[in-house]
Amino acid sequence: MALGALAARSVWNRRVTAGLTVFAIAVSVTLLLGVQKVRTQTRESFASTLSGTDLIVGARGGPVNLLLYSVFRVGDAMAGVSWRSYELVARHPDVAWTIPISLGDSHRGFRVMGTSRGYFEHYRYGLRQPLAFRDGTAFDALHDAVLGADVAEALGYAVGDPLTVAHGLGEVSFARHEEHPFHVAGVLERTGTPVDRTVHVSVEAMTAIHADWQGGARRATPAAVEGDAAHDAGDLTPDTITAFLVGMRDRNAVLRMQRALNEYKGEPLLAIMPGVVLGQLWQLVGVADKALLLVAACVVLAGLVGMLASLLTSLNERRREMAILRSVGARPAHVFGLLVLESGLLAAVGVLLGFLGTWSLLAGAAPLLERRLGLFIQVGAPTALDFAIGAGVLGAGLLAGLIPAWRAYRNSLADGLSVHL
Amino acid sequence: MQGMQRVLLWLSLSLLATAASAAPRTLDWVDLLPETERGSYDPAPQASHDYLLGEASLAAQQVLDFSVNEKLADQQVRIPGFIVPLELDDKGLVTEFFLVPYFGACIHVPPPPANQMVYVRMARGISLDSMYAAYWISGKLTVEARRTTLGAAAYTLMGTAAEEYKF
Repeated sequence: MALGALAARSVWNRRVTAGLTVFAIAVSVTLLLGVQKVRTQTRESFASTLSGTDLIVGARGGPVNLLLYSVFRVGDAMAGVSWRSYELVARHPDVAWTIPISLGDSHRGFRVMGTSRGYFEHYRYGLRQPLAFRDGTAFDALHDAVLGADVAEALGYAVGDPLTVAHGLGEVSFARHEEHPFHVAGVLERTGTPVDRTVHVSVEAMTAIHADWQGGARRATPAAVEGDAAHDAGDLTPDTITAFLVGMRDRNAVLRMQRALNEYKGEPLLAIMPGVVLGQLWQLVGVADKALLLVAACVVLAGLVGMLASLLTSLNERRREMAILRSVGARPAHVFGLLVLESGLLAAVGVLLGFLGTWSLLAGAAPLLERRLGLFIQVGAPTALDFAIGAGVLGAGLLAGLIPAWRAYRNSLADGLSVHL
Repeated sequence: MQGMQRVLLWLSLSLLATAASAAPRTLDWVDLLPETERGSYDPAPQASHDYLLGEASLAAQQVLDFSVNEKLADQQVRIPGFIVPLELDDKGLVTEFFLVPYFGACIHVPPPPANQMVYVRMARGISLDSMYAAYWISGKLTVEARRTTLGAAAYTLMGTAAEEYKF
């Protein structure tokens, strides 16, 4: 009988302990792969959300906070930016384009963002990819809305359907802007960014739906500003917006513009370069995720040590097994090989189950992460790094197997055929 | 003694390598200034407030900022500095950035003058995690011909290699 089959059968004979060992290795591999995957995918997800934007401008506060709420829709703004400041930048000769962002309302758990038509022209994600329409067009009329791919899919909306915007950010709101029904004008292609989970309307519409709101609640009698006629008259220019994105005509002027905005005396503004702040964020998060990675690696080590311990303790019980093998013609070298194969087999099954566990866990958790944190985890095929981790654990398992194998080899030399138990 | 020998060996080896492959010229930041200006280098304070509101006071400054060392045009160079990321690829690697002579050229201090900043486009991106480290960037340096924009980097580098700077 081939040594491999013999090893497999021997393991099967001790299936409960072997199963527990495999389980421990599988869990540890799942943990290590999972941490590694989430770590790299988070970074890619964040990095690919914004491209080609030179500056993000918001009210003065934390740079990381501004980046998170303006682009990733995580957290909230403390204050807004006046429309006057926005216009000042938008009209600057060195500025190629600006995109206003006005947040604060939602539609059934999806955030509503007030913006301009320029958003659909100038916003870039991934490798400078522009937004594309799957269906319909950008908003034209005051009460037009453009949906991200996830919004349209989750709520089953198509072009022409009506929708009501709710005041506040919860999934349920008891203050709806029912007097301002919107219509879906367009649906965007999937981007794998927070854009997919956003309902886009014009900043003017944001002004219109809040025109009747005073002192935090709606007035009983509607104000005069309503409908597309007022929109055309230009009455709906907002007083404030949440933040805005800036693209420079010449990237070389970015630092100059940033400095000028941060020093601007007219209003406390904060201008950030997205790449710089993302770097700061990674610096912040980096310590935590390196610690997690270290913990995961230690768990793998513990799993392998557990396997080693169970193999070593089983050796005494298996002296008779070895003696029988020797009696049917197995050499001490065979005994050695048998044990190395056995630990290799346990590690291999453990790694395989670990991969399965990671992928099914990520597939299950991805929608949740997307909904709760705006993180887009693309599970995809295992990368070279994943295979390297798997191979590393397998190699370590084989290496660990050398210790019991050596013990068994020595035992079988000393014991010969007669075992004195 | 041994260390000395090793250094000598390394030096002679690196000299040989230099001779063999026409290695990039290693630059210091002062090399970016025109030779005539080095002794009396005094960048004008940049009035950032005026930049946003109007351009009245900028005409004079523009000339000063754009004085460059023309001798460096189209040369293969290697220059150390800090990275201010401008563009990330979809894997989160920095592909376009400003190389500046000191760290923290982002928020708290005025940006360096145009001739003390290099606009770099990398052939292969650099990990953002190591943003706080200094780097040697090698590649072909070009001197920008356009002089119309305000406050710009006067040099552009097509980066081919990046290597962490060891102190």
